[in-house]
Amino acid sequence: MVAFVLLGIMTVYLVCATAMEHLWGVDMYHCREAVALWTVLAVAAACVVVRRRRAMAWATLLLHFSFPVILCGAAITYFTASQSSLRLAVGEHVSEPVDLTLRDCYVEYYPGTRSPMDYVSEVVADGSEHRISMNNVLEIRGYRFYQTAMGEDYTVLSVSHDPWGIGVTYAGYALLFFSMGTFFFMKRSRWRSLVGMLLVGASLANAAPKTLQAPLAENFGKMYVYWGGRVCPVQTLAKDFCMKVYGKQSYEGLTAEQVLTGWIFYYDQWKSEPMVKVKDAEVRGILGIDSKYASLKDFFANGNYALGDSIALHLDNRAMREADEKVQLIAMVASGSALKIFPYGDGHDIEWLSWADQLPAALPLEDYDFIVSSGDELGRLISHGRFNAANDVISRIIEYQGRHAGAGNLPSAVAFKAERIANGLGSCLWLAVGLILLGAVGLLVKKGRAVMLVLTALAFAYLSFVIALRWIVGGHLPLGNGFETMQCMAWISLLLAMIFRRLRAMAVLVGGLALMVATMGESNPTVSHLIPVLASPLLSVHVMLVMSAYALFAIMAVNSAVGFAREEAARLSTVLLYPAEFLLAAGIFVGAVWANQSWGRYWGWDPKETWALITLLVYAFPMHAASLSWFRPARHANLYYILAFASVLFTYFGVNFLLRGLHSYAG
Amino acid sequence: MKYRNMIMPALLASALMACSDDKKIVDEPIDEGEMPEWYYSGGQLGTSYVFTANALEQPTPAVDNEGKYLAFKRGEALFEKPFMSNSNGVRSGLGPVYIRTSCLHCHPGYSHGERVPAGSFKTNDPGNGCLLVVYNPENDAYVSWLAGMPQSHAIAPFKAPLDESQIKVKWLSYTDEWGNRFPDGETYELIYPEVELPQSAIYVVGQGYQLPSDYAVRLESTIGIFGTGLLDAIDDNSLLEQYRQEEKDGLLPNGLNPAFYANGQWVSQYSNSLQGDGTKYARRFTYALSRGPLQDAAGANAIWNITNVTRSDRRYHYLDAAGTWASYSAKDPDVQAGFDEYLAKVDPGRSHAEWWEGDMEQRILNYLNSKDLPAEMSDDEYVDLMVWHRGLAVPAVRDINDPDVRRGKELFEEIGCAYCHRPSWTTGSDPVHDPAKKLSAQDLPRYTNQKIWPYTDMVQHKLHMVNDIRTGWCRTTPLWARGLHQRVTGSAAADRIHDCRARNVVEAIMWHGNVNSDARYSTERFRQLSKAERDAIVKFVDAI
Repeated sequence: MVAFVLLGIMTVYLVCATAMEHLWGVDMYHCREAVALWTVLAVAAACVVVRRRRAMAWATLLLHFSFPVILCGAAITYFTASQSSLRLAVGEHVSEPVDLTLRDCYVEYYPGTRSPMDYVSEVVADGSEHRISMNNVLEIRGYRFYQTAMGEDYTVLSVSHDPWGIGVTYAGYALLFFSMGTFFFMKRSRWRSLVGMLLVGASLANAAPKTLQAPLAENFGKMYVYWGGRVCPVQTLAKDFCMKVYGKQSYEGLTAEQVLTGWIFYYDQWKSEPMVKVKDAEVRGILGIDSKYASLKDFFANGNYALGDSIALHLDNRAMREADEKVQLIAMVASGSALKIFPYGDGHDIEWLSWADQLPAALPLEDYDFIVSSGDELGRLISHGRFNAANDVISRIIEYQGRHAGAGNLPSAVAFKAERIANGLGSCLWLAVGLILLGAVGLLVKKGRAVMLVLTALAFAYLSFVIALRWIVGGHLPLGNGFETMQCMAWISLLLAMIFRRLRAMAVLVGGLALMVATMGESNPTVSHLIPVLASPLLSVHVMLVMSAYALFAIMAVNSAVGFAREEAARLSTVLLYPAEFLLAAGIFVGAVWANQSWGRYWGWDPKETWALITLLVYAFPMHAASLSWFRPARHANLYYILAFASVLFTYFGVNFLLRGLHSYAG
Repeated sequence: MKYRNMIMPALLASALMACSDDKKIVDEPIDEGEMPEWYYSGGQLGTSYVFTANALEQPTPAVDNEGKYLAFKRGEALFEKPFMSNSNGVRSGLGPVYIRTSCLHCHPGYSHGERVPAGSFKTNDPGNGCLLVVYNPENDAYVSWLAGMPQSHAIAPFKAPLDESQIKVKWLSYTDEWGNRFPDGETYELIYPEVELPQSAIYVVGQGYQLPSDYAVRLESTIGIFGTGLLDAIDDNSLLEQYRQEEKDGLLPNGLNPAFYANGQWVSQYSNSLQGDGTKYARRFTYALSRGPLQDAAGANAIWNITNVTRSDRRYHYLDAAGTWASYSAKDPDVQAGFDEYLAKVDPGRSHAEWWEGDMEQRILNYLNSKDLPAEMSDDEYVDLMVWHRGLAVPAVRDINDPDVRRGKELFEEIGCAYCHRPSWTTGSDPVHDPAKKLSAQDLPRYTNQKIWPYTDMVQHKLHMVNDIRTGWCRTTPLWARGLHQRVTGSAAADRIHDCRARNVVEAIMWHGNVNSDARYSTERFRQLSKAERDAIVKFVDAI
């Protein structure tokens, strides 16, 4: 019982800490009281484990044992680790903590543009040369150097030294996940998506900007392009572009290909179009806009790139980098450099060239001529309204691609077709929503089992088709990323739902949730080679895990509210509680690993982090109904799940509005 | 249950979205007859119709008509690709001192240069199209101890005449007499560059040279190269007519530059007695009107003096006029120590005995001041380059059917902008003059009797801006296709005015407003227009 009281005190303490920091700027995280409280909590947890070691299953025991280990690691970090910032001018030399000389620092640009690609510091450390850049940490004798800012002739590196704490903490987490692995199965949904989907129809279009007619744009999308490390239809590039910039696969009723070609051929009209989604309030402030969407012009008011100076000085500001990435993507499309559509090479080693590229000197004159003149001719015919002739040029380019790439370097006709079909299917959001609904209805209504089975089978067949397409396109089992894994999990759930009648409703619900997670993952696809710092797969995993947990908490709250007095409702919510809590713990951990990689520390008491921890603690209480008998009556449990959801809401929304921090991008 | 009610319309909507349109592509050809004359900025022989990122890189129809497309493409490569310091091979011969390694550095997307950001002046920054203008403020003459286009790079063992890392560019705010505010309350901001060039950045000063006088520094940006062939095709007599008309009208407070024209006649014309025979031609190119026919104008010379790549009629280095840099370099022990190694690469066959024998200082001087260096660029290459240069087209007007653009055109003429920004000219018989006597009419694309729309009178005027251009006289800049600048360069600003100080059209116009400016009257009229009318002018200026 003492342990639970302490846990309660800790939760309240952290809530106060975030408030105090915001209101008066008081740091309550690193003071003696906080350290004492954590220590007592760790000791209490250890005592519980020792005293109840016989009553607990070994996994549960291990799970609880992991907490003192994690806290131990944190203590080591707190007492032994150091973090500092190192400002170096070119040529400057420091001998502490490591013998280091800055040889040069510079910005690397995307070829042919002024868009920064990377920020690089070349240093000589301990006698050997190293290159530190956004995705490239230098590690020497336990010291880690990260690129954090860059000025005209100086660079700012952050230096961290934490040789033991990280290891112990990670070991604790490993223990935690190992023990969680026994119950581990994932699910998730998000009622916000439902609301968002209903709102789609409501936003009425103002006059759409000029672009190509849909069929011409569609044919433009049938060309091959080298994009995101593989050869795919231009259509895929167009969809990635739309998703990345606007957050949806179409804009104002125009197809993705129309949006893409609009930017290429009618740039002047498109640059005033408010279609660059800006999620972060701070970035909106910099741009001076009130709405969620900025036009390209908003980024260049008064002749300066609005993010220009800020970016180099705040390389760790994710929201800013994301907005910058969108602007750069638009620049790559509008300049044509994203359209690498001309294969060049001897059949084995193919390079793909764009209209904007410096063409290789060895390129035969007729090919050089074709590449340059095809682009110019396309532009000229389109500006003269001669769209059928323009379509002929597109056909000639496709022909050229076939002739010059060599058979082995283009996707097969089947794969190409499959990708175009897959692109045409659009998002699986509607299927996810349908399945969640079906599962929920199935849990509440006991009739109509045959209908349920038929619907499940149809959904299964459709999903199998989608996965098969992806398999054909990718040429490997579609389990390569978070999106595909989730899709696969949905597929397995539906398979189980068809086989096991008693599990059906639940499994359909899980399938729907998994699919929803997958859909959300795709809303921020990692396209091509854009920005190294954001390309970390950990980031999307982190977001997906945390969002899955929140979604489950949401379902629990809704479920408990609908069946407030009913025992089954409380039971269902509690069933969902475990995966939700584990997902959240895993999400927080993955976030910590990512933070360690990019900022040099795994925990920073950022308000969002702290509130995620608070949520974790809040939901930890009902997991202990065996010890805490208050949770046993259904009404109590349901009430708690409804109220506890407030902590999720605050973490997700409240922190952004009321507190500020590194995570102020969401919402 | 109510969730289901909410979800059904959504499902229905997504099902509807899956339906696609019909597959037919419909032509909407532009009716050539319906287009007004001013749509064809470069006339029938000089207009292109590509408005993508390559808009300013297109060949004129004349290039195709005359079968010079391949030469054009070869010339294009010379313009776009960097030169190397190798003494042989493709595009070799860079140095011993130079400004930039390629033309494209200064002419991003073939456009006007981009503005120089505050901080140091880096010639190698992508898009920096500015040259430093270092002159004596007493008499406005270029200083004698630096080349007119000052070099800030060198091939070892030589040292750059200027250490550009010490140069600082500052952007200062300017408030005009109206407080940067229109009568209707709309405001604008004006900024202008100031360049600091400390004496320590000057190589010869470090070597003991005493500067003979004070100096001032300004920035001058390149302007677009496209359409220069068309301007070259305007007859000399037409230009003289324009001067006579403006003299007769007497509308402009500053009159005409007395150095070039007075009382109905030229005072000074362009001629070249070094390569050519000294024949005189009307001045027409550069802000300073320092050049005549295109074939011996900025581009034809820049390919030699920016890179210091020699050619058959320029077998000498481009250095400062007084030979200051050469004489101090010859005395510099570092240069002397490395000269043999350098020379072994430049002249492996030891064909020039005077570079190899005798006193080291004299040997270096002999080399630097040599008038019979090997030609590093062949005559064929040079002809190709000039085919390309003269062959660049001007894009047609955009959004010509937009009512705002049409209204803007009327207003532009009504408030007097069109007096100096003369909308159109008709080219003459275009005989293709080359004062250097290297190129002939058959070599190059020609533009006879074309009605072109450059929006310039080809005459110099004064705007009396703060930190004004050297001498204060500046040839009216053609406005054609300037609206595409940001499209083709990706620059954050429109980069208008000779040093790119104006970030948009309104700022550019308001820089015309000094009380002593030739454009004072039009600027006052512009201020009195309504917001919608001012916007229409801006739209028009960006559309042409």
